[in-house]
Amino acid sequence: MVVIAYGVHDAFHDFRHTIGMPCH
Amino acid sequence: MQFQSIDWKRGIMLGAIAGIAWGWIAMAVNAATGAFEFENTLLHNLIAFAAGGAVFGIVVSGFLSLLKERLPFKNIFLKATLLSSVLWIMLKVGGTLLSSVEPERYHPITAQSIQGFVLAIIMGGLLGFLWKIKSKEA
Repeated sequence: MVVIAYGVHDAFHDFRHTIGMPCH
Repeated sequence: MQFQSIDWKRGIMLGAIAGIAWGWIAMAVNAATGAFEFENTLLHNLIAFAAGGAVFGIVVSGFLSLLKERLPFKNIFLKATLLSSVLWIMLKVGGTLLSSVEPERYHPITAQSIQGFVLAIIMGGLLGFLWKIKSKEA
């Protein structure tokens, strides 16, 4: 979960933004 | 020790089911709010959100099965919501620390943060709902 939440980066990019995790 | 086996399986299964449903709900919520404009294809996101949601769901459900006797509140909805919210906040705090270390790579966006917190509450509600149904069946 931590690996996904902080980015795998491209695969879960939209997911991370949607759930409000910091991303570039 | 039979009860432990039931809890163990139930925790994993319910977490995965709630998480997949939550992932797809998150997609729908984001499409409605427009907090973030999707960059990947619909098919890609259906899979990624289901996988990411399942991972989150299993973690929340796993902690729920471990800590449910120690958590405040009697209502399983409130227990699950508390756990999912606290977990999201912990991840957010970690992300904020990363933002301060590497601001170019990680930067928080307020609208997405608010949406994420609301989604964390929804995750708790979904999981609590499934746990309640399963408890009645047992």
